[in-house]
Amino acid sequence: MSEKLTNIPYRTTFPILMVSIVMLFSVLAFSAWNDLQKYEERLNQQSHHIYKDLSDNVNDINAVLSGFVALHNTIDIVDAEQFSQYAKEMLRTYPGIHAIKLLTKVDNDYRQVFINQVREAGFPTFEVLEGDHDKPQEWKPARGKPFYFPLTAIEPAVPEKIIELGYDLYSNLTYRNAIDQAIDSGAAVSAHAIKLMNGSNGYIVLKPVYAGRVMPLSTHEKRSQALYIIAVIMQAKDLLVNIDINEGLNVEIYKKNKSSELSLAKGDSLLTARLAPTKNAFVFTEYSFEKILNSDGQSLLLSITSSIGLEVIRLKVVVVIFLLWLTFLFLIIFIVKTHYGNLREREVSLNAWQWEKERADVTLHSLADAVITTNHQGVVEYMNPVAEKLTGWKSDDAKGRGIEDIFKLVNELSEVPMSSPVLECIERGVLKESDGDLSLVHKNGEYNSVDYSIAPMFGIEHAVLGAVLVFQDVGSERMMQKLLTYQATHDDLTGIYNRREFERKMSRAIERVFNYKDHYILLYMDLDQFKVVNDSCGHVAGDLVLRQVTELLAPYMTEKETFARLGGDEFGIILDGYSLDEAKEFSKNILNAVRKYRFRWSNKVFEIGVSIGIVDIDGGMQSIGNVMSYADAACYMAKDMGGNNIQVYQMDDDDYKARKDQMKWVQKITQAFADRRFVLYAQKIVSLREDIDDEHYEILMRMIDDNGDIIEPQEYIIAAERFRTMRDIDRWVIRNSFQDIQKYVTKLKNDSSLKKRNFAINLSGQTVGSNSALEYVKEQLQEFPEIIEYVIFEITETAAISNVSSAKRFIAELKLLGVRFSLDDFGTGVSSFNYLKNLNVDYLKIDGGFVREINADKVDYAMVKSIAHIGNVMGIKTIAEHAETHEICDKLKEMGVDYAQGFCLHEPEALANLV
Amino acid sequence: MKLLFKTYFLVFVLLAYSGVTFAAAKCLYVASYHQGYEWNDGIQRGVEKTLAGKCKLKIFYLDSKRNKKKEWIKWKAKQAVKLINEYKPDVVIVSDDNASRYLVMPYYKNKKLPFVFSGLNWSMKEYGYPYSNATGMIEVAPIKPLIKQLKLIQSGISRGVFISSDVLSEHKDYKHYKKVFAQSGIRLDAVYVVTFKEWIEEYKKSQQYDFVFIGNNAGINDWYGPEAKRVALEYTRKISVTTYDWMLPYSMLGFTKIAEEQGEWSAKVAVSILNGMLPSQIPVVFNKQWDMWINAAIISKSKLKFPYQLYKRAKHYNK
Repeated sequence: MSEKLTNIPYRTTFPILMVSIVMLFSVLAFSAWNDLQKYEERLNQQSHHIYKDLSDNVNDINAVLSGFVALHNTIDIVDAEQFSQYAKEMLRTYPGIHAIKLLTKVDNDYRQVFINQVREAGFPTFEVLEGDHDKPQEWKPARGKPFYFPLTAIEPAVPEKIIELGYDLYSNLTYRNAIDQAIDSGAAVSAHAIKLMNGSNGYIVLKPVYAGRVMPLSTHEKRSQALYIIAVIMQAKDLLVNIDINEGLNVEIYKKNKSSELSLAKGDSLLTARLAPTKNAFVFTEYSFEKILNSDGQSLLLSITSSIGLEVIRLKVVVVIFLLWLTFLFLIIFIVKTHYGNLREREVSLNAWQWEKERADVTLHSLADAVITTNHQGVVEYMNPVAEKLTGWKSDDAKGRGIEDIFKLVNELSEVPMSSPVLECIERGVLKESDGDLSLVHKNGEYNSVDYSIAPMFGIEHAVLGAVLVFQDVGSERMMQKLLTYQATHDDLTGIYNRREFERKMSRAIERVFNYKDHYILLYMDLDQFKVVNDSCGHVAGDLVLRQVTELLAPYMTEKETFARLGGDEFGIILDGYSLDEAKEFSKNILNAVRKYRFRWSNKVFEIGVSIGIVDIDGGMQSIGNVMSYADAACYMAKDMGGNNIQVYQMDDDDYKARKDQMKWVQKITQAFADRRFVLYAQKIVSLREDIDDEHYEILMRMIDDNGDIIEPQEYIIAAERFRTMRDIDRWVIRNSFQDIQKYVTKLKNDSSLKKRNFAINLSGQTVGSNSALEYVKEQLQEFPEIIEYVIFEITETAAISNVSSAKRFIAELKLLGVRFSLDDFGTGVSSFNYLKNLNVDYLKIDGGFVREINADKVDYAMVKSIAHIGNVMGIKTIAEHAETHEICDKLKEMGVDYAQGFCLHEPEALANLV
Repeated sequence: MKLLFKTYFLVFVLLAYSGVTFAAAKCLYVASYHQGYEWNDGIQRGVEKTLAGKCKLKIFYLDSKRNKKKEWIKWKAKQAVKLINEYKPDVVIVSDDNASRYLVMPYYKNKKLPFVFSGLNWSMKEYGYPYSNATGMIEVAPIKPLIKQLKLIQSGISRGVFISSDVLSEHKDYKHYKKVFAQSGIRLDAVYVVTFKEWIEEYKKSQQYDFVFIGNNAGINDWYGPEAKRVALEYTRKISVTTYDWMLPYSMLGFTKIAEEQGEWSAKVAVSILNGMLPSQIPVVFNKQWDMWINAAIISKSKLKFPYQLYKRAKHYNK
């Protein structure tokens, strides 16, 4: 505001300020005067109220005096008891009255008789006394006066007051004059202000009571007929009792002398005062109220003063006036400012416009984005250097040309020219932004990826004056985006779609089948001998196989086929619009191509086959999961049929049902784990040699079904292996077996009579091929280090062979820790003996298929014998499974087999019983 | 903070000072009679009510109504002296004659310890009051109003009998009654009884007088109220009057003193003494309050006619 004010000439602002300040003070002064008037009016009203209340209190005295006279006249004579009853009632009625006294006139001749009567009547120590009123202890019996006015009754008759009983008030000059005056006038008379017995200020009003019923007329008669003086004592402070007095008022009551003039006169004595607390030092004015109160025999001056300070001025009003003044001042200044401002504004705005224009030019030139402005017809008016660079047009050349010549856009993919968005923006008057991938055609014909934004420029009445086009080269960003998209949807190794993208396309296909009855077929492919290559030649060779197979199949793929690697050696193809027969035909071509393919690596040649599962997607297959599982099942069937095969998924086929059953087993296994329904059993492996006396047990797992029946593992192990839950089962077995073995080891330490027992724990191929499983076993052994020498892991020959390198590593690392290994089902593989050299095991378990028939089948006999021999040669102990009869055992012993295991030797029992 | 501390300090000092003041102010009330005697209880109520919050009050009973033997009363008075020596009161209030006779007069006359007496029957001369250290209230019965009413009921009334227990205060009362009645031209005889049976017999005999003045029954140890009530209803044929409110069940008229007035006054005087006044400054006074009762049941049985004004002004006893 101050800055704005400086813009107004001083000769203009000064008079305005002066006039407004004068106005402000005038209004404030008037308001203050008005408040003061009202306040004084209020004080006046209050003063009159106080005067009235004071009058009432003073008149109470007269009521008491007159009442007693009336009582006396009614009942002829008032005794002390009647006086007491009357006075008590009066004191209750008029709380401002301090005390009521009865003085009885006693002639000297009658004095002693009177004293005796009073003593008998209730004051046994009564005496007529005289002396200084303020020194009761110096009072003496009164003698030698013609008459006395002793105090004969007083109310309230409290001990502090009755000490005055008997005191002759007539002997005191102050009272004597008042008594004489009262008797002579017959009216109420007040004595001068007195000090009461309690030390406070007060005054006494006396009224005579005469004998007879009619008041005597002459003074002489009045003096001779006077019987009593009734006296009412007012404690000065009680004059103000029950009177509301505003806190700001000083109220003073004076005992007025005879002067009837208003205002304090010399000799007037202050009876009581209630003074207002001192307020602020600034006194606006003094308020004063004085009025004489004349009641029967009493003359009092009421004086009320008050110091009126600033507090009477209503602050709210001052604030409002000040705010109004400020508003007024601002309004005036605003009007003046507007007037002067308009003149100056024109000058300033012209300069500012020039400056702004220069600044805009510089800004636009400095921008990293390209900027072109046009008029309302789309004719170029301005281009910045970036726009020149991107369009290839010089600004001077472009000016005056239509924007459609300068800013040409084409679709980036189709290269189809686009209509000019600038003209559209001008025509519709709306903001436009690039939509989709667009390229700007450079003057030399090159394409540059761009994004643009066009805003219309509006003039008066919303008319479009032109447009501002801002655009930028986004070639590198768009390239990066495409690359990221590609990486997210393609397999790194083969360059074809990855599983995520494949599933997205599958999902879209299922939707279209469901919604539009389109036809899609899924091929699920698994390479047959890939694992052999991978294991024998390494991962590099495996990766090469995958790349070569992809390249082999790529020529078969058109827009109608979506080809993807789903993981490992599994591929998937979605066929769009194929009939089932066409799909089969397509699959055969694929199969033949792969069958003919040979992979060469280090002078080795591998035949790579493929198993293909076909699923004809229909509307009932609601999810990708379903379709993929059907395809997986079909592929598994094809592989089960020996590989290099094609299998079409049939919903009602028995094999598929069996497959479904296996899936159910997976659910059961999961539930059994949750319900803790797995238990460990163990079967003894008996030594056939006399020189071996340690005991061997194979730990077996059993599941308990919902009915409490024991389920043999062969029923669910296949499902568990197929659906990859063996890993969890193995971990459970390892953990629980170790705990039980630990119990046995602890017991063994404390009991030397116990034989050493070895416990063989079966591991699946999935566990043996897993690094994490190896780590798990190590962790468990670390927790149970004492049991290591009692543990043997059994690995099936099939599991070992399917992943020889992993099995070798698994065995090697755990053997370093002291764990022993047994090769289970030995002899079932074609190249069993070949692999035996690579696997550092401690025991060979001869497959039961050979053992069961050694007495009848010569080949079996020869097989077992040769295995026993090999084992013996290699220093590996042999164990014959399924030794169901004693004859077989004898034969095995004879053949040099070290151990035998079978139901005739020991039926499996709970492991808990053996530890 | 400083101001707050000062305020707390001031409050503490004032509380401590007031505590000292209250702790220093100790009052002792020595009753001539026992707790349960209605007159005694009335005085005690007045004392307790007035002194509440003004001083710490202890009460001692001489129990001289139930045990009239001098030896007993003297022994109890010594007990009281012992208590005074131990308790060291600032002021002692005594009620009724025996306390003045056996305690104040022999042990504390004109001594330093201030005494306030109450319930002294009719006069204090026997005990040498006033002392420099004693003042109080004398108990008088409203005999003059009583005589006035008797004359209004029966204008020619001239002879009456005073029947009372044989105790000191009743003898003392009779002495004053006789004098006042005589001033009004009425002769008042007296009969003192010890047992309830004697009382019944004397009551029956009293019907030969113009009126019966029923004195105190305190001291008649086998007093049986219901039987006395029955006797009063059955045998009353003449005006009967009493000055004790507990004798109202057996009397047509009652001009009763207010025991509380004695207690309240003596306690007020005690407070004034505690505030610095000397006992000698405070005049001895008579009690002033009394009340008027009629027992309509006995009146109606007796077939006597009472003035309508009396029926209107008196309180009706109807328990």
